[in-house]
Amino acid sequence: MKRSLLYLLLGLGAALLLRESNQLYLFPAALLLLTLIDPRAWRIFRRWKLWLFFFFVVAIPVLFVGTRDALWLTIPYNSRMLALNLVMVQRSIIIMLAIRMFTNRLSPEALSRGLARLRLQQFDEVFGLARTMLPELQETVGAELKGVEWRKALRRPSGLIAQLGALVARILFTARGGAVRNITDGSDHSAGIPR
Amino acid sequence: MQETASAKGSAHEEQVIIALFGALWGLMEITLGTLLKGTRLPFSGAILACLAAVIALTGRSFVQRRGAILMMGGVAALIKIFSVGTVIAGPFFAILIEAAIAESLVLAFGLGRTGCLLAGAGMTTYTVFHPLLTQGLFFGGRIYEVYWATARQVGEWLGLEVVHLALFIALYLGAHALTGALAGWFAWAVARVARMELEKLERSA
Repeated sequence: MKRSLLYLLLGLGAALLLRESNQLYLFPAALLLLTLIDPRAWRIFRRWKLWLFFFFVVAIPVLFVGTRDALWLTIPYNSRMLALNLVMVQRSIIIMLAIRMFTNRLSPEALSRGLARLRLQQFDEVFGLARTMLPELQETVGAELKGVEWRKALRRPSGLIAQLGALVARILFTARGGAVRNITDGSDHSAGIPR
Repeated sequence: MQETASAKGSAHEEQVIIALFGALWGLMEITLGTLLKGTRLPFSGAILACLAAVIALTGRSFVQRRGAILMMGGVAALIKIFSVGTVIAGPFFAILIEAAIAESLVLAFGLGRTGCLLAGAGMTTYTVFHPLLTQGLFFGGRIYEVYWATARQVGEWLGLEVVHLALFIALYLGAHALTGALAGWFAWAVARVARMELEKLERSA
């Protein structure tokens, strides 16, 4: 975890230091280092939408905005903007790889422990309780929402408010009952959800 | 002694309610969220934020503890991450930031109609800024210069001025804020009905 954090900081540092003057050696060096640490991080670049976004961010302003002072295959373009936009995209590639590399090594459990360490009181207990409730809650709420006549409800929201209010009250009533029982008999977390 | 037991009971009851509404929020994110992202519907982020506002604000009205929405958001974000099986920073932070916005607005304006309207509006309007913030983080401030230059160039071609662009942005943000405020009002109304129904249930028990 500490090593991953160090790599992340190195990646972010390289991205912040990237300039037009040092891009020729800093960018390949950062890519090489991040690839050696975690080649799986490259998977984020499989998304074609990301490449399309890069293309639009670089090409559109370069071709249409400001003074077009250079030519490429007879197409006029803004050379200053091209240089700046390329550095920007290189910087984003390093940051994306560094963050991906970090999150690849971060398990949801570690993240949960991290949140519990924040000043949110008993977060781990609350999260454990929520995970216990989830399957039953999914079943109950799913069944209840299937019963709602949505067209009618959207025409008359007061009916929907009453229906949802009653559902929330029933769920709360049962969950509170479960909580009180847990306190009085000292049993472990569980909260029955009404069907 | 009795007071300690009562305080303990109340604290545990609050934990149960936070867990319940956090789980509901997470459930909505992993079911409807996945569906909406899959269908690539426009404004899916705003739709999810509206529903999240309804769940979080309804839940918050039954818990007196500060930071309750933040905890619900934490639960929802973790449920989303666990459902994917890997940590995806974007949605994780989006949920946490939405929760933080709602929590701070509720702390500032209370849980009355105004507080709920503002919290709903804040959560939903944030969905407009989230991609901009993420892009700012990845690309740096330069991306905003690129957007600004492109917008001015397009405006020049279409014969539009900066004031028209400002109007469009204001309308776009206003539509989001209005929808979010409606979600906040809906949450306030649902919570009010739920409180009355709960009283009836407790009397009959």
